[in-house]
Parts: sequence; C-alpha cells; structure tokens
Amino acid sequence: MKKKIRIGSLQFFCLIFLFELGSAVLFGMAKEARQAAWITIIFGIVSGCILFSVYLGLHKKYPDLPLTAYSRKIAGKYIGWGIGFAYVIYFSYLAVRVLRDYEELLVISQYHNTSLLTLGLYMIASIIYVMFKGFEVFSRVSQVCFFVFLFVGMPVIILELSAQLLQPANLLPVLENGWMPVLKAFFPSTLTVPFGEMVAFTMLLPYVKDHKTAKKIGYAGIIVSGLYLSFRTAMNIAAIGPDVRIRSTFPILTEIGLVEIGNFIQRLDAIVLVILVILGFVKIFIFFYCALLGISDLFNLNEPKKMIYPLGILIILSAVLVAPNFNTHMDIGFKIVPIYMHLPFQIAIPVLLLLIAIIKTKFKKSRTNQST
Amino acid sequence: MKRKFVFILSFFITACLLAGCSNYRELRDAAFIAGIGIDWLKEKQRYQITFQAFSPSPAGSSSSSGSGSGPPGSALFMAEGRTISEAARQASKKFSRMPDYSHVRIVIIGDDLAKSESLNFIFDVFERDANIRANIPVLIARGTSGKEVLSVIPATEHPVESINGKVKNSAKMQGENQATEVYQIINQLSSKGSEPTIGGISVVASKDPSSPNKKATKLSGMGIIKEGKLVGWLDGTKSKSISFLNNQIIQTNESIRCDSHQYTSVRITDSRSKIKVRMNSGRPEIVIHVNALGVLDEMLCNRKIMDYDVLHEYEQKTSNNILSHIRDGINQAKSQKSDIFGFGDILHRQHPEQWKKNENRWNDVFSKSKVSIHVNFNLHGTSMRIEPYPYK
Repeated sequence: MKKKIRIGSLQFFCLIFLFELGSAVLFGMAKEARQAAWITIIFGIVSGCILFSVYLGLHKKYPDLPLTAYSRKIAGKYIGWGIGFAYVIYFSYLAVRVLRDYEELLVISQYHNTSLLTLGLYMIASIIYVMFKGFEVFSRVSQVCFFVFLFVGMPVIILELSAQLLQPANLLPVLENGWMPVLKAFFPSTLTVPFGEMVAFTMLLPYVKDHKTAKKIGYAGIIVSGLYLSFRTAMNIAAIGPDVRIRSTFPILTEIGLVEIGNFIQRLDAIVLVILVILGFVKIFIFFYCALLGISDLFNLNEPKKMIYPLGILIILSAVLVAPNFNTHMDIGFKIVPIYMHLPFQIAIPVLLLLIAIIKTKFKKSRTNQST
Repeated sequence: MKRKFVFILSFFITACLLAGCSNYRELRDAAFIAGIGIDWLKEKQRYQITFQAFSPSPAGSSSSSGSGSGPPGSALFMAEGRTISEAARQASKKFSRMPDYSHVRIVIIGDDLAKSESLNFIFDVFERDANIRANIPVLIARGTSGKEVLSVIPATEHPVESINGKVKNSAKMQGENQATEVYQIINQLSSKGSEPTIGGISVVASKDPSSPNKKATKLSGMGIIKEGKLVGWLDGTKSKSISFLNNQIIQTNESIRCDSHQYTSVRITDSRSKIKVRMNSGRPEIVIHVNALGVLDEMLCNRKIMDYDVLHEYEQKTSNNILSHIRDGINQAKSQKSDIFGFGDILHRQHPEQWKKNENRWNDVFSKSKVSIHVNFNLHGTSMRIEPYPYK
C-alpha cells in the first residue's frame, strides 16, 4: 500500500478553519434573521459540534477508514457501496457548486468579460497541481493560507474600525419578531452550510494522528471559526445594515467597498477578493479530494491519481452547466440543496450509520457473552 | 536535464499567458468620470446624463499654465437614455474614450427630477454595478439642473473637485450642509422610519473676474425628501438640526447676542445627542438631549468674561441657540410630514412593538409628535485671551 499520510494538529485546525469560512463569508450567513444573524450562527456552532460528535463516533469505531469504507462495513457490502457512491457524487457536486460560486464572484466583481470556463480552468488547474503533490503538501499550503488570511484579514477589520464604518445602532432591535426568524434561518441553511459540511472531514479524519487529537482540534476548529463568523456577521450588519445585507449578492464586498480613509485608503475589494479566492481554493480542494478518495476506495484503484484529470474536467464543465445563470444557481443552493442533499447526507445517513454500528457492536458483544 | 529545461520553459510561457490581456484597458483610452449629473427630460420622458470627466491633457502641455487659460482638464458631455446605463452607452457616440466610472466623486440630481419624478429607482445602478462606488456624495441642483451645475467651471480647480471640496469643508466647518452618500440615501429611502435629506447646490453669478463663465456654484440648504420626492428645503441654521441630531457636528459656530446690537461668537467643538422616542396615547414623544462643548472665539462687546454669571449667561444663550435650530428643523420636518431625522428608526430600535403598530403611517404619526429638547452647553475656554481689549 501507499505510505500513510499524516497531518499535524495545527494543519488540521487550519484546514477546518478555512474550510468553514469558505462560502459562508462570501454569501453572508443567516440573512433572513436580520439583526439576530450572529445569534443564529452561535446556534450553528452548537449544532455543528453535535454533528461533529456523530462523525467522531464513527471515526472512533473505524479510526483508519474513510466514510465510504466503513459504510460498507456497517451497512453491508451492496448498500454500503451505494451509500459511498452517493457520497462521491455529493462531494463532487459540492465542489462544483463552490467552484461556480467563485467563478460568479470573480465575474461579477472584477472579471466582467471573462468566461466562467476560463476562471474555473485556472482554479482547477492549481488545485490539480497541488493534488498531484499530495494531501500533506495541501495541508501545509493551507497552513500558509491561514497566516495569509490572518495578516490580510485582520488589518481589514482594523481599517474598517478606523473608517468609522460601524454603526452599532444597526444591530438593534434584536429579535423584534421573536425567535421564529432565527430558527428559520438556522434550519436548514445555517446548520448545513458551513457547519454540516464538516461531513467532508469524515473522509479526512483517518489522516489525523489519533482520535484524541481529531476530537480536540475538530471541536476547537468549529468553535473558533464559528465565533469568527459570528463576529464578522455582526460587523457586517453594523456596517451596512440588515436590509442592504439581504439585497446584496456579496455582503462582504459591499461592506469593504464603503471603507474610505482620508481619500487615500479605499477600494480594498481586491484584498478581500484574494482572501475569498484562497478560501474557495481550500474548500473546492477538500470536496474534490474527498470525491477522489471515495472513488479510489470504492473502485479499489491502485493509482488514484489517474482519476484526478477526469474528475477535474468533470467539475470544470459541470460548474458551467449546473445552472443557466447566477440567480438560478443561488435559488437551487438556498432552496433545494439544503433540504434534499445536505440534510440526508450530513445528518440522516451519518446518524443512521452510527446507530447501526452501535447496535451491531452491542449485538456482537451479547453474542460473545452468550457463547462464553 | 531536458525535463528541467522543458519545465522552466513552460513556466515562462504560462507566466506570459497567465498575466493575460483579458479585461485590459489602456490608460490613454480611458476617461475617468468625476461627476455625474442626472436630469429628467419631461417632453422626451428620458434621463439626461451629464458626465464631467477628468480630461487627459495631451502630453507636454502643462494644464496648470495659469489663470484665464481655463482650468485643468475637464471635459463635459451629455447623453440621453431611458435608463442611466443606456445613456452611459449612448455617450460613447460623443466621446472618444472609454469612460471609467470607478472614480466618480459626485452625483448631482436635477431639480425637476427630484421634484416631479421619483428618486426611488435612480440609485439602483450605483448599488448594482461593481465598479462604481456606493459611497459617493449626492447633491440636488437647487432650482437648476445637474447639467448646469456641472458646466460651471471654476478658474483654478476641476469643477467636480471644487464642488466636492465645498461639501467637505462646509460639513467640517459649519455643519449646515452634510454630504449624504448614495448608500445612506438608499437605506433611508427603503426604511419606513426615516427619510433622506440631500444637500442642495445652486448656481450663482460669480464676482470673481477670473472665472471663465461668470458663474459659480454654492451650497444651499438641505432638501427634504418624502416618498422619493423633493418636498422642501431646510435653509440656513435650521439645517444644522440634522447635524446636531445625527452627531455629525465636527465644528460649527453660534453667534449670540451680547448687547443691543453686537454679537459674540462661540465655536462648538463637540456635540453629542441622545434621542429617546416612545409612543404615548397615539402620539410619539421625542426627548432629545444634546451635550455640547465649545470655546468662545470672538467677542464684540466688553463684558467681564471672568465672571461666572457672564459665562453662564453665554452658555445659556448658546444652549438656547442650538435648541432653536433643532426645534425649527423638527418643526419644518413635521409640517412637511417627512421624518428626516429617523425618529421612526429610533422608535423601531427602542420599542419594536410600538413601532409595529405605527410603521405604515409613520410620517402622519410623526407630524403629531411632541418634542422636548434639552441642550446642555459648556464653555470650556476663551482661547488666547481672557478679557477683550479695553477700548475707549
């Protein structure tokens, strides 16, 4: 077999952090909850931790196997294979969706005359390059990306504060329509994106040193990234107000566009765009890689790298074909995908698998007890 | 070895290709638009857009060659269209360069457009387009058109810079004219609890002999918008009420009477307001507390300023002055039934359940409101002299 891939705990943390931020920063979270959006995200952190404990439970039982492999052990050869294959399709579809998000971001904000295909090509080309280098290289890249993010993202926050852009009054009144809008925004959209998307890490957990590290760093990653998202969302609301937030395609760019200090520091969009593309790169890479892992596992490929090109080309093309225009893309993303894809794949199937696994072990134990 | 060579070669080739020429624009083909004027042509039912661009002067000729020879490069051109974007495209027939809208500094709305047509929709393009900013100050061409305002060419500056400078300085020095930016107007237009105010600019005859077209622009008043239409103007000191209530005062000046016909000037250096709004038997009760700080900067009469009583009297008079600005401003807004101060939004924040009942007829409810204003002004110094010089 191939040599074992191992990633360090800081790298694992960076992966989770950048992955969670991904498209959540881009589109702004829980817009419908208006001023209470940041509360919704706090709920998201809690539920994200609960979901992650399910994934950890599965990982504890099969510490060396990815989801597609232990699904066969739990649900039987054929059903398990089917589940695994469904996950491969799910991960590739998410890679496609995130790629499309970023293509649209670039076309709308800067590259007005460039085709989606061209932008997708560059993104996937760089992803494929890193993929050939291996996952360990990627996790080190993500560590670098994390520090780039810190060194670019934090000054932006400071600049925003010094531009006196934030009006705390915009954050009031909180919960004017009670808790219903908060819950509506929480379920299913905030729950599933980005917190439920941690399901991708069921494929990657075997790379982490041991179960304890996975547990500790996993929870830390979810909580830190969730708190950052919550803080950033509150800032976003304070800067542009809940109404503009609902209307704008990319609230974060609207927010940054307003920064102007002394007629000199302005147009920071480009800087933020760099961060957003980095986040997109990490997210697409992870989904792409999970799909690749799934394929190589399901079909028992000796040389999984051979599948990188076909899968990459498939992702580039589907990213263009997946929706006729941006609005349809968003509509599918907010109305159909969370309910029909995220909920079963992120919650229902892992919970079922865990339950079956627990029952199975209990059953086995009692049988061994009886025989002795 | 050969492999390495191929790799390095391909690296250079892709580097050349990736740098790319897509979406490129040469600087010599671009014209940076500085100001946009939007007017409504009633007969044609079209928008007329006036573009004031930074005109690129040909290489070698210095644009700042002196007064009289015209100001540094500005180029004016106009186009008509059913939408602003259409007009912008139409303009290409009249102007040889590619207009670039990312440096627009000011938007001027014609009087007719503001009065007869609605302002509600025209700001959409500023929000939607990725290049143009949403934090551009907007002014209304008071009694004239955007075209007229933008075609006034000052002797020394670019016309747009001249307008922009006036807006900024006036807001800083006096607080009567504030620059309302596009995104703020959009927020206020879409909020039920507040209406925008937009500063006015008018064209007056210039006394400056070096002015090329004997005209000059002057800021005047703040326009009151109601349901997207211009309904009135807050003029003079009344317009300070907006700055006082929105905490936008950086500096301003109050003249207070000190004897029968002379005045003393007080510079206000800091002002903070706190507003409370609540409903009381169907009428909004608005309680305003203003805390201001200032120094005495000119005294045109001989009083013993060291006396606590005199000092206190000045403080009292200044407070009353501020109070009357705010009261007059609010009274006019009430008579126009337009909540330009955003009291509705404050009620929304402070008492959401009371706001719910009134949000759909807020402007009517607001006009019946009971306002109490408390101003506390502290004089914290008399600048470089204590007593005025004694004269015979």
